[in-house]
Amino acid sequence: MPTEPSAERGPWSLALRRFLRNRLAVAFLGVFLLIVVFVLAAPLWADHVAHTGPNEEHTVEQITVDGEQKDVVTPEGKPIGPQWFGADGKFFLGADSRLGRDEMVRLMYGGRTSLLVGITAALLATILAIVLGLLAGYFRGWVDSLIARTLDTIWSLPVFLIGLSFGIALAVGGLDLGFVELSGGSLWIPILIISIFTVPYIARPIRGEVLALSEKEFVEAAIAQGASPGRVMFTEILPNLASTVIVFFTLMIANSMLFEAGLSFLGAGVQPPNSSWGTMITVGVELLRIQPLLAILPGAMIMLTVLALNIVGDGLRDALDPRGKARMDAALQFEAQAGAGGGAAI
Amino acid sequence: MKKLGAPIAVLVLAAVAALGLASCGGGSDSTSGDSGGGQKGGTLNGTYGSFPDYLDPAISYTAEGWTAMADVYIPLLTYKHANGEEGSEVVPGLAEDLPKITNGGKTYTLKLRPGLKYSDGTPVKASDFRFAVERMIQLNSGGSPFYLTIEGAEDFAKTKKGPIPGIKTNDKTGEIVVNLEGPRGTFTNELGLMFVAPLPPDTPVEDLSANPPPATGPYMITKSQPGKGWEYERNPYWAKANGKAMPDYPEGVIDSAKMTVIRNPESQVDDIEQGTYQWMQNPPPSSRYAEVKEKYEGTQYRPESTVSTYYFWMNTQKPPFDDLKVRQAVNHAIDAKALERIYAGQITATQQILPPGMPGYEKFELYPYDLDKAKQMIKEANPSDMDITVWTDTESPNNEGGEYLNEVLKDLGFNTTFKILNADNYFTVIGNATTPDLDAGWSDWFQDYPHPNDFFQPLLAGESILPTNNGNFAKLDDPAINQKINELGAEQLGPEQEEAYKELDKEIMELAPWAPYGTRTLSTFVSDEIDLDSVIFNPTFGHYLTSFEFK
Repeated sequence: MPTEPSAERGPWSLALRRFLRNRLAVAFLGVFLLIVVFVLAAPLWADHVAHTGPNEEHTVEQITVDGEQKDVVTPEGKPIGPQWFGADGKFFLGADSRLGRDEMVRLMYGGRTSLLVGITAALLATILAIVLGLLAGYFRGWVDSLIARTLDTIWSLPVFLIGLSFGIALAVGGLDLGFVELSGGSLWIPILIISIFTVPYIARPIRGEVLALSEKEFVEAAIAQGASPGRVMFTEILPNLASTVIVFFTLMIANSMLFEAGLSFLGAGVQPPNSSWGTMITVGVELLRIQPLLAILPGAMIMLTVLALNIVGDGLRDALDPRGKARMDAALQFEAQAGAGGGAAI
Repeated sequence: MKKLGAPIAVLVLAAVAALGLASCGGGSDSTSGDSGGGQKGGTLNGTYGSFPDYLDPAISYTAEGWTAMADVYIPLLTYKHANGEEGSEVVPGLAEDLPKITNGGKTYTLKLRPGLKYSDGTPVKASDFRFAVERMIQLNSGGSPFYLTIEGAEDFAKTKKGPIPGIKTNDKTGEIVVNLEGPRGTFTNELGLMFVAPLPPDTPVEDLSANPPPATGPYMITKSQPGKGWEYERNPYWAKANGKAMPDYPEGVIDSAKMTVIRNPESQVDDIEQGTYQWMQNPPPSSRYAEVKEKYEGTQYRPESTVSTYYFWMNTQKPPFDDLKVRQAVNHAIDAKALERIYAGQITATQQILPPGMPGYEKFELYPYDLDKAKQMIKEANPSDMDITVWTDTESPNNEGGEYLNEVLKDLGFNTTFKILNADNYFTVIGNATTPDLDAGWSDWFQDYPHPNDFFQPLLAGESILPTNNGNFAKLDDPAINQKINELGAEQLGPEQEEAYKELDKEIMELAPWAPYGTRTLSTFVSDEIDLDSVIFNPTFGHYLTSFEFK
């Protein structure tokens, strides 16, 4: 007979139990962790198996495959295909282009870049969204109007196209704001573009939740006890947003990775010679007819990672907040009512 | 899309008319755009890999731009509508004849053909030539150094106040007299370039790429969307006026054309194969080169050898490349064999400025590939600044060529920042003096005319360093070299001059402002609807629009 959650168990423990019961989410968490291990192992593979770096070119070199000498790139410009372990792990997945770089090594390093951009951009977007959501939802009035309208404006923009324009412009000239200077090839450029343009996707639901939470008795009690707005926001309301934030953060990693792949594919994200899965697809597409794996592999890695993160995110939402949908609906309804009354409707 | 006539009867009529035209024409099939074997009319749907730098004859200085405008803006002189070496012959354009050169090579006298009109109906006047020269200089065109030997042109370039006293024109008689400061052996060739094609005097002095000025050629550009494409129609005044005044100039077979920029060369090849487009201006991508060659050579594909040099430039006025030893080390570190593979065999390795096919070319190899030696030289030079920016454009395989240079420089110990720019504006950006960090990068050069001066003066003479539209990316400004370039440029080309150019080629390569790596093979690739044999690839202007015809 299944036991009811005991009163002693904390909410995090209960959430963990609920998450572990979701076999699909657990399986895909495993897949995601495997991907993380795969990309973290890049230097090991590069140094001890492939004996080459991600950007090292081998255009005119030959390798010995099962005792036979083969060109890494033929005089007609065709890169070598997957050699698996025929060349002791060198060019395991073949060469990436006419530059003769090791595809496996670039896939692993490219994954590091994609994950780094995805996670950092999601983290920045989440932090910004929390701050903006708390300020808008707690203070309401003109602060709310200003933040909500700004978020609306960003939301109403063709985000990808604008990100693309910024990406291209900054990739050439870099970014110099006086206090911060980024070169055109800096990874921070796609990270900043992605995080700024994805803030509304988290900030708006958070604002809705804050609007609902700030009406709760425990918040009123804190205010009555003389707690400052900062203290109320960050010590009373913020902990109650944890489940929402965690779920959105997970999903935002996936979204940011897709955003990065799109930008990089169009030349506005990660800049060559650095690899990301997006840039690798760009390179692979040109050789699609003769070496289809060059485009398919990074594409498959993006798909698998995004799928895993989405399923894990769904699993976390179910585990952390089983009534999440109902609460989210309530939060949005509350936000709409507040907007109708206070001029902050979305 | 191609216009299809009513069946059989029209085809027969068209064939009869075409045969008639062919029998009446004076030119041979190999040199005329109207070979007469196919259908008259139709719309050519072509595709470019990138939008030309400009669609304005005064400032465009790329193969794309010149091909796009070759049969639109006719200079006083032009180049013969022919393939290969024959196409390097200068022939009269809007002028009645080749110039009469007097006064020890300093005075050029030409006469405008009577009755010429622009596509908007404005009569073409002799003074329009002076206006075109002045407009080009006012726009800081990359071609302006060719014309600064005209009396008063240097001053005009500084003050931008005209008229240039060295150009005297008579609108009544059509006479144009150009006085030069000193003799210039290449001036006849330079009068055949589009930079100085006459334009109406009310043409705005600004980049008109979005709204190209009226034409004098058989076609006019009716619509231009920079970055996307442009369209041609027949010039209404060609049949009425210019065609009659220039009977030797091909009138063209197609009625109209539409050019679309498709940035994915794979798609371009697919579109040609499927007949969605009938011609691609750029060559097939390296990844499809072997396949296209094997399947279509002789029927839809033809390799076109060019007189060109592909090279990496190094900014000789800034550390670390202001150090000769560093530049020489880079030359030793470039493996032309690797670049041959990167270009999938469409590059033939060379290590000098003048390419094969250019008078004065003699093969030499000053910097055999030796990476260890290069590293040692860098160590000895011990450059003060190891942080450099490497530039290239997005078009394949130039992007990979740039990546190759980037890795070579990293191998030599530099900290590189790699910048890859859209091919539409690559040369505009790197040719602008205000662009920061112009340290090293990729470039190429195709002959403007068959004279070695064309590879030295615009690219390596100090006077060619311009604030915008600069072509001397290496910023080489060596007084002794400048003097030699100017002295040789003043003379008519002969065996003695060719010998001197050989020496100059070597002398400049000893200074190593560039790391040249090859000469390029381009191509003509058309759909099965187009008569491949009729298409002309001119060494100066590329594919002539007047030479396309449907089978």
